[in-house]
Amino acid sequence: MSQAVVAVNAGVLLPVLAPAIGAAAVLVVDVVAQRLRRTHYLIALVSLVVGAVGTFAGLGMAAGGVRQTLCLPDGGQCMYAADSVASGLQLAALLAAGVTLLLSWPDDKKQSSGNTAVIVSLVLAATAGATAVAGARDLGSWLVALELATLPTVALVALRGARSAISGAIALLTTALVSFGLLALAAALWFTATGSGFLTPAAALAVIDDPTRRPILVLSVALVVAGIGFKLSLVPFHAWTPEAYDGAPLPIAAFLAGVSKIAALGALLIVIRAIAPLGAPALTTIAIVAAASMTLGNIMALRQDSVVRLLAWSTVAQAGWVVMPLAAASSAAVFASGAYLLAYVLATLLAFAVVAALVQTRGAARARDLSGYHGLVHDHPVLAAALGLALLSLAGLPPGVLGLVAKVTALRPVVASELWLLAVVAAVNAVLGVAVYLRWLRVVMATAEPETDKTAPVAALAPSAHPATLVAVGLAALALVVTSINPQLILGLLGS
Amino acid sequence: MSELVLQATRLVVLAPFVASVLGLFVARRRFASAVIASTGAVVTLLAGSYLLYAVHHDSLAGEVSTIGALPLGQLRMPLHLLVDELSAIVVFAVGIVGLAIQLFTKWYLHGDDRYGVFTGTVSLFLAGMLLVVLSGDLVLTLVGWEVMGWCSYLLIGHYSRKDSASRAATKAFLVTRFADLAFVIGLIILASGAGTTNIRDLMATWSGMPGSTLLTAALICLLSGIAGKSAQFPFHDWLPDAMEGPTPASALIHAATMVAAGTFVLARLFPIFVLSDPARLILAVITAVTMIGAAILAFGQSDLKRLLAYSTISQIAIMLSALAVAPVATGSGPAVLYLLSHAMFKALLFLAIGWLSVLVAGTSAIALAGGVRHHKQLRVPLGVGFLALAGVPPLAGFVAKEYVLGAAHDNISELGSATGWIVMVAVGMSVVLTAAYCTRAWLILTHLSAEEEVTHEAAIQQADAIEDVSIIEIFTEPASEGGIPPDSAPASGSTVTDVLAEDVHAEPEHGHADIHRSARLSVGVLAFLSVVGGLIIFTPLVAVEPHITWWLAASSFVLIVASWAGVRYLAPVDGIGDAASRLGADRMELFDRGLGADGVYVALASQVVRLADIVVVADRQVIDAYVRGTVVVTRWIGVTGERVHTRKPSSYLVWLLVGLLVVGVVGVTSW
Repeated sequence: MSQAVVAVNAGVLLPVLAPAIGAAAVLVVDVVAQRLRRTHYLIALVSLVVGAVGTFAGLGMAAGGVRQTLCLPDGGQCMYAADSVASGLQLAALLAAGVTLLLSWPDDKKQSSGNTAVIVSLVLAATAGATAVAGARDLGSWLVALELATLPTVALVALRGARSAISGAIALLTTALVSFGLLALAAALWFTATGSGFLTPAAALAVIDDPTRRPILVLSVALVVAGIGFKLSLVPFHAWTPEAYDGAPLPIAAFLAGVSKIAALGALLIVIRAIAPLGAPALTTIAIVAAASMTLGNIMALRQDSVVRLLAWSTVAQAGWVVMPLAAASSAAVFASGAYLLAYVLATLLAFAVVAALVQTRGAARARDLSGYHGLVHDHPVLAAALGLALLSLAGLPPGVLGLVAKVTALRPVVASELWLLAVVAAVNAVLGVAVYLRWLRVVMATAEPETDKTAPVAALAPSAHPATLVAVGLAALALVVTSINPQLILGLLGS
Repeated sequence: MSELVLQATRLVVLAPFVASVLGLFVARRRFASAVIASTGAVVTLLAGSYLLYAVHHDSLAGEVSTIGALPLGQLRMPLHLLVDELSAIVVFAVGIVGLAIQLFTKWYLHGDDRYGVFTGTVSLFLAGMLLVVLSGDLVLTLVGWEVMGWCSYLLIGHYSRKDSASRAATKAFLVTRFADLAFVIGLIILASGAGTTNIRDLMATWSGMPGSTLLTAALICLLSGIAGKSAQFPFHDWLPDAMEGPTPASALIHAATMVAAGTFVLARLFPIFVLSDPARLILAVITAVTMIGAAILAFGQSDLKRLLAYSTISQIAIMLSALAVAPVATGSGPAVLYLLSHAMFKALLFLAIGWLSVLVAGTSAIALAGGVRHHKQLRVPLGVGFLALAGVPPLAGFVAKEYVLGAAHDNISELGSATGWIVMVAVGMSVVLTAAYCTRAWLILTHLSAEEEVTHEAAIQQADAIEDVSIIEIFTEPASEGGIPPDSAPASGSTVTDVLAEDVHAEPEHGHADIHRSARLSVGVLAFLSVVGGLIIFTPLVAVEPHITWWLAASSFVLIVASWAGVRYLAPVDGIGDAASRLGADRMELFDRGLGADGVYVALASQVVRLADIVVVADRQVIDAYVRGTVVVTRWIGVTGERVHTRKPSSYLVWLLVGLLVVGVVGVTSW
């Protein structure tokens, strides 16, 4: 018997395999028994839960702890390695995908669009990409996994079929293609510079003393920042974000804001960790991009009247915060970046869930417009409270303690590396961010206008939100409350 | 210390606090409020009595932990309570007065819809005072001090629908708050100099450096706060205005709590206060000015409740002056003795005057004139109260005043300092003045007007005609407090039958329920204690030697009698028998306005307000301009940003290209 090319440990790969198998299973079931709808969702949820359980072993490992597989024979390098930060990102991606599915749970009263199976399997495929990229250690799987996480979202946006959805999908597609080109170029330059197909510190260290190969590596990293900057919606690669969010169905927008961002950061962290030994100046580009993202994102968010666009611009600003610690290039920075991302995903998903619930009860026009939230606290006090918590977490104000802790955690490596200019920009943006979210919250808390009394009988007949949506709101709110009471939970997941 | 003592100490403070919190929940229900407040006061008194017993019988004294030390690095803040002879006896006195006031309030505020709130606030006030008394830590002292300040605002402003009450409450709050500024600074100096807020530890540290300038500065700062809370010159003017509050609140503030808190804090810090002669001299001057000035003003008040307020100011000054002169060997005993006796007779006087004012519907001298003639059951309490206040032997007030004079005498003979002479002369003068205003008040209360005398005779004559003497006797000497108020005395010319027709069937004019037995009992107990309270010097409860300097006692008694005779001679027969009317209406009006102290306060405050206005303008026009500038810039960037985002795919690619160039160039060049 010949020895296998690589050793495969299915247990370690479970977070990737489970959603991938789920995606295939949904398609198979659809072929066997057509017109099923809820079955697909159940299969998807089960596969996500199995995947999530698979990440548990990797959570909270001590520094240096790693679970790897797909290793080359004779103690060679491994193509898949998940440490606690990667495991934490995988868990977040799987749970965020679960929330997305709950938000898009089929409504029996409505006519099926006929592509339930497609949507579910696309979501699962993208999720599999997101979990895979967090653990990918070689150029090939890194590139493929990242595109697997991206391309299905183009289809997901476009499937809604509306004019705005198509234009959003086109925006997404064009930038996705260009960024793929950049990333492919970056991969090629990496291989040229290091002669290695692996994204590891060892490969980067080989270049450190060679003046001819170093610029190539640096250019490669710059291209990675540009390519991933698109996926993370960093300025100036952000322009697709508001269009795609606005055009996409609400659950898909939540998916873009959650799972896609986790995938992108997972991919970026792998490269950042590989080049960490090269020193800090490498990451001036990240500092510039982070500062520009926060500032432009917050300022544009301040001017939005559509809540989905507001959330889109908020994503841009928050993405700046997510990558900001990476400018300091240290292991603490990687950890801080991951922690901030988790806090952001949790709060944003809750905000999207509340908006989705309101779309179902009050209609899309009212729920997507900021003025439709006037006096929400009187009409739907529980939903308003959940939304308030999400917004305060995003703003970083108590009782949204999680957001506050995340902001402090993100600033710490920046201050430790004495990047004062960046720290000052971040502080200014913390204030701007408060204005952005309080602007929304103020409308929510406003006393109801007398007009609402006339529409009160109508409101009584208004449909209630779908139970699955309410479950999503409840789960996200519960997670946010628990982690706000004990922020150590999130930090502990990533292994401090 | 035994566990029981620990728990009793905590209970003393917790019981009224819990009562106030629970009271808030049932504030709308009279009966429940009364039960909770009284239970809290009873528990406090019982726990306080046990403490007094334990401290003296078992010699248990020491510190009691509360919520644990605060972790503050260099500064130790153990937050202990301190039980010793000093705090135990004062806790006991506060407990008695507190309970008496709670019982009296239930009757006094009969029919007041905000009774529950009032009684809850009284409980909280007591908790604040007891915390100050039991505090073994400057921080706890400050907490109790501020709680009292806030509660006094609420109590004085109880009739908040009245403008004058709300102004008086605000004035009390602002004046004491202002004085507290220096108090807090003083506490900070004391704590930071010693590295701890524990009172015993910091006193031990500071005792090692007598004559330290820093210590003197700290003590002078403390004196400012004490002068504010104890209503000493120049912060005294809030107290007479505080008479706008219900009488039980006045009794509470004047007797055993707020104004006495300053004396207590200074008595607690006496071992280090005695080290600073400049601070003692300042206190002596302040108290001398206050005790004489306030006594003179008391004499000229046209409102007897305000007379009592000025008398409190004067009496607290005597109390504090004992601390200014007492030599180390004498200690704070005379001041504490004065605090205790004053607590009893002043609470008695306020409750009795409050009682009478309910019956005659008013506290002005005119309304109260002849009051005790018509309401005989008040003769004894008011008489005892005024005798004790004047310092007539052998009442509690006499004993306490002799000890203050004795302390001044000790100071002169042992130290020979000017401080002793200042206090000796001032207290001597205040003995005369106090006797004078007490006599004046008593003469007014017992005055039988010319009209009434006429009516009296007429009634007898008419009675002969209608052969019904017994009814006339009921009228002229009412047996119950539901009798005829003096205001309803018939105008000359009307006949007694008219009067009878009006009053036999009518409700009592004050429209108030008959006094409760518990309220009557509290007044009785206070009166009893005011009479025999002086005997406390023969017990070990107060740290004084049982001896009286007889020539001092004799000479002060002579002064009192002379003063009494003088006022009695001056008092006119007509009108309401008011000796102060000899001053002339203009001067009395000036006295009523406290010699214009309020105007000085307003003038000072308006300067502060003007400064604040300038700051506000500067803030709005200069500082805010930068803030508004950021709004303009942000909006401009936003508008430009929207223009740039054209929502066309081609523009995204331009963005991307630009970004790529920037990232690439910066990345490579900055390496």
